[in-house]
Amino acid sequence: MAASGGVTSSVPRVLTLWCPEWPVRAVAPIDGPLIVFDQHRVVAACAIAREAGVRTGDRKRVALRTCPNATVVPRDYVAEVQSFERVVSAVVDIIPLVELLEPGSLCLDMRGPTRYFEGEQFVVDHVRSVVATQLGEEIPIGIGVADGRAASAIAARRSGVTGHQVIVESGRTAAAFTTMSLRWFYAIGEMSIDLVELFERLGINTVGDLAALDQRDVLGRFGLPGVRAYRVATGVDERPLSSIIPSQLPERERRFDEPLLTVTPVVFTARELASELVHELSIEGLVCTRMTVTAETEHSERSERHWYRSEGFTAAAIVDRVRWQLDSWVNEPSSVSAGVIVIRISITSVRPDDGVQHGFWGGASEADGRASRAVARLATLCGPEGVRVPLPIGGRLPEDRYRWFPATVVDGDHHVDVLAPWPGSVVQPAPVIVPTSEVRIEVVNDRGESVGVSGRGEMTSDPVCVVIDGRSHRVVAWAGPWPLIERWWDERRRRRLARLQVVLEDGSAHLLAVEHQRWHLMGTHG
Amino acid sequence: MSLAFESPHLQSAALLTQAGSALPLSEAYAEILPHGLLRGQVVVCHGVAAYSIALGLVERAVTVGSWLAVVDLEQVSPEAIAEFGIPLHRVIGVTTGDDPANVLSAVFDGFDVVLIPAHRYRGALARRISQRIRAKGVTLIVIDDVDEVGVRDAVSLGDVALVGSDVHWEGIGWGVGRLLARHLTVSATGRRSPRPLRSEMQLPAAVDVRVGHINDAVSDVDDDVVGATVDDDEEYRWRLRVV
Repeated sequence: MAASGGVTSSVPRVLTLWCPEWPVRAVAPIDGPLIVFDQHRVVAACAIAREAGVRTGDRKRVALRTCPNATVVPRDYVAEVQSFERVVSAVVDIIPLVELLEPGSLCLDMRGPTRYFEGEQFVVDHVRSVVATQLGEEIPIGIGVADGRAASAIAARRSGVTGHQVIVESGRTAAAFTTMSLRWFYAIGEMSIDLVELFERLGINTVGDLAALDQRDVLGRFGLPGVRAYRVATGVDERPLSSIIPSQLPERERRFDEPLLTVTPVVFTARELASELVHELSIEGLVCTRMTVTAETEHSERSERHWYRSEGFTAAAIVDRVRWQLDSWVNEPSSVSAGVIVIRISITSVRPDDGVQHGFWGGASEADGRASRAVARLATLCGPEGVRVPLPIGGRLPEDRYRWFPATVVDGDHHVDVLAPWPGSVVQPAPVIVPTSEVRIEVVNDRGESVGVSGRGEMTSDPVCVVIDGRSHRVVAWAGPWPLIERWWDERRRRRLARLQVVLEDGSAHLLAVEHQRWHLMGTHG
Repeated sequence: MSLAFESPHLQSAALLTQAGSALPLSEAYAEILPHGLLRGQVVVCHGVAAYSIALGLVERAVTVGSWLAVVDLEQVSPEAIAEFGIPLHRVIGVTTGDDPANVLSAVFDGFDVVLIPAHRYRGALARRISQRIRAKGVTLIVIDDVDEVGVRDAVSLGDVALVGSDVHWEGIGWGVGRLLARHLTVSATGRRSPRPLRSEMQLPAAVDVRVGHINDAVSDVDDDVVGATVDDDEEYRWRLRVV
């Protein structure tokens, strides 16, 4: 296996601290068994539920069958992070470079501390004692030391279960874990539960089984997630730890000695930063999906925008956004009074780079590309409300059925579904023009009196004229009325109205509605 | 360019540079616009069915991949756009705000087909816009439904004016039926074709998509108009419509 000799020398020694069942600890204590779920899978359970046989990764209904009287709580990340904060700061007091993995778990690079405390065993003892001071002696914690993140995470889990520290000697990773179940990979977040179950169905149950496969076969059959798991199993887990405390995502900043008074040189610098960032991410097979661009002037004026792109940012896409942001910033009246001295690009979200699926005829077409660039540019020019995409909502009235939504809140490659039928709506053709604010009209009969709709849904007399904007139009054909009562149980949103279609003498057709004895224009077939 | 040399009938500089780059049209429109929907052209849709004529005009182009920007026309219903067969995921609505010139030029950078209201296409801005769309190869469709420019001016305003007339609604009578389909004559008048070309068409063209399930409200009404109804029945129907 690859976990021998020179190969492992580049793999960092990592210590992982794991507090078992942290999600349970973040919940206020209650009597009886407690299970915490996330996306219908068990993420943590208290000791009683564990004894009953609940396992991490079980489906919700399976878990509730094993332990029917359990209290079920959805996962609350914010509370978990907050309650874990004191542990983090206690560890940071003795070892400053700490990386948070998830609430209840952190890891750190052993190289520096081992030298400082003169031995791995001493580091482990120190960490254990400061954490125990924070949490109390009786709460079990797991501390594992091994080559690479994943191995040390598994070591920490094992230690959390047994109550003893687990230190795997350098180069012995694969051997130490050979007989362990692949479920551990799900527990430490290296594999999705689906992949674990797929491996199990294929008879690959242990880390050793996976490590015995050929890497090319794993890549061919299971893709990138499979290879990642394979690397962990064989002990070549070379992902470096970040030395930035909370975040593991890169950021680039450039300060200028001379304040820059035009946008172009700033954008030019941003191009350098962007290609560095994209290169750095691509080494790990990642692509940035969300980033923050910050610029500051000598007078501390500041422009900060968050950008998101579902298909991921290329260097050019990052540069485009920097340019748009700066352009709109400097063009805003009285926003900038001095030259720019700092430009900063921080990556705030990444995902594995699985490439972009191109359309059959050589696209995501060129037109799609141009349009999505234009949408982003327009969002900076006329504000997020200025660029909108149509989405179906559903309803019985023309104004309810579809809405225009700000394009920035919708994913670029959104798919618009066809609206399901809504019984009670007036069928096709839909009016082309739906007024954005209420347009009052009059509907009158041959004697010039206002026409109404009775409580039984009948016209009080035939509509002969419609008065729109003070101008009177003769009706040549009409149909209806179609009464509608919506949400009668809701005081504020209830509606009771009747609709009428009319064709006027100029050939235009309209959908009218009468509500509280007053007519208004609901739509026009323009 | 090479296409231009092959063609014996050079019509204009715009045609020369944009030769062969017309956007596709549905059959009914191809009759009245024999050169196709040209890039860099301004089409003014005028009169009572202006919106529908415009949507029918762009339908094929957007279906095959062009993007449509609907500028300063918040009142246009997405449902109607979809009903014309236009894929909504290639439709973007834009509000220009205080700075229409800048916003419009960004729109022309990104979209092949742009719909704007007539009040946005006037004076100095109109001149700027028409230069810009020729440079970018954008097809601009101006909607003039409130008779803002008049038919004569509609022709002088754009390269082509489309005017609807003889509108006839099918399916509706005096207190009976419902709107089913609109038949109308659309005539195209161009600067270089003083004699208008006419075509009879139905807008929106494809009504059969959902006709299969005429829903409750309408079938109720059909009953109403067919025979005399008893009061109790109507009372009952009111309750049925309670949602």
